[in-house]
Amino acid sequence: MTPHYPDVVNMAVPGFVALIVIELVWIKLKGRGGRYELRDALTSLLLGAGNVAAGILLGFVTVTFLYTLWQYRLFDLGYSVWVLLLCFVLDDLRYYWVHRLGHRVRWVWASHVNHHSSQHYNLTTALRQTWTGTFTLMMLLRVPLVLLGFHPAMILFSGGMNLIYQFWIHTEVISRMPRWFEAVMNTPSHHRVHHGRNPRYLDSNYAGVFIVWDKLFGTFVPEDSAEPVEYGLVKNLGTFNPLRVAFHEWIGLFSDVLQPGLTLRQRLAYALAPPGWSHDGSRMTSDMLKACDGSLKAAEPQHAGGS
Amino acid sequence: MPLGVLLPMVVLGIMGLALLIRVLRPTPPLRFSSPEVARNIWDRRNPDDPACDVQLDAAESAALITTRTGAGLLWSMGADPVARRFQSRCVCVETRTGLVVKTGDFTAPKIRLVLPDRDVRRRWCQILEGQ
Ligand SMILES: [Zn+2]
Ligand SMILES: [Zn+2]
Repeated sequence: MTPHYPDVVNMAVPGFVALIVIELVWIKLKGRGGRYELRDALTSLLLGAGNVAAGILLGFVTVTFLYTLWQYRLFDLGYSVWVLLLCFVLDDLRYYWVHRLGHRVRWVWASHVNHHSSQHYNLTTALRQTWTGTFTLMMLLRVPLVLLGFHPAMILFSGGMNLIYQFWIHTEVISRMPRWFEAVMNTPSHHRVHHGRNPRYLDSNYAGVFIVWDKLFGTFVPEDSAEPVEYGLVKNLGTFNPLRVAFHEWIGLFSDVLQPGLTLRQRLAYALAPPGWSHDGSRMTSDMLKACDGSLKAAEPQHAGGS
Repeated sequence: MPLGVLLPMVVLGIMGLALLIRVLRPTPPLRFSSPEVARNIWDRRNPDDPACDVQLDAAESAALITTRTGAGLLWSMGADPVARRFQSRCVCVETRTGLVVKTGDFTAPKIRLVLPDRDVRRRWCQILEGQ
């Protein structure tokens, strides 16, 4: 019999609110540990609420897909605690790749971008979640888990726990965790780097729960106190309107794909190449920004010596 | 979770937090205390197109930036700066106290500038509209 897994993300809402209150009061009392601005925070909270609404309206697509696939499973691993733990770890690996694609494929970035659209980094930023995740088709990355015999309900529960874990790391209140913890787990320090718009911090630390995936796949960048993280997008938004925040990259993507005079290959690249790709080289991808920053930094000592 | 529980929880949570942030006001809105401050922010965000000239609006919440390639605006969005370059796509609408710049950019549709002096207003308008 299938055990019942609770709807953990929605159940955690009161906990999210309580921790935001604690962070806010702490920042106010200490005068450090982050920044809060009303309209920015309100946009984050409304995007969070919209994400819950999108889950109610569109959640059935992923659920139906996973349960249909379950009919074709190769094994049935059952429901023991050990299987649940294994499922959680493997689902975190799945999260790593979904998140990496979310930064490297514009079609997926169009959905994920709003999580990075704030120039603030506080607990409300964690709630700035996508409304359009279903359209990215990233549920396909859950296929191996279902075929291996992890029950869809267990997979969705693991995904929910993963999301809850990631809430508390969106803070500047905590500087560093103990060294053993920083070595294995995703932490506020690691995830601050992920939210950075500084070229050297772009496309790094995709981890959900375990930072080991970044170390394994070569995307780990430690936080450098000599280079404070500047949060937000390479081109920051000039609006707090949640509808504009949620859909701006989709609109940009489709207007690029549908512009006249492009080849089919160019149209596909506007949807599937890394964000910032352009057919005429008029924009910068993160790789170009990194290369540019690297050559600027390399030139700096010479420049200083010559002046 | 039943909608009858989830909905009030989310609505009350958002309202309560918004009220608390409004009362505590932990972070003041961004103001550019001098043209140099605005210039530094612009140059850091546009290293390939640094500012040649910087003029602040009367509220010190926006700056008109002239570069070698054209004009741009740097303005405060709450506690943070946003910078945009314009290629003659924007339209300025005069108000009693300043300008509303309609940019045609979906991600930054409208920018309000405080410019009580009519001559200054006209000059900004001409530069921004690229005339
Ligand atoms: Zn991300
Ligand atoms: Zn995040």
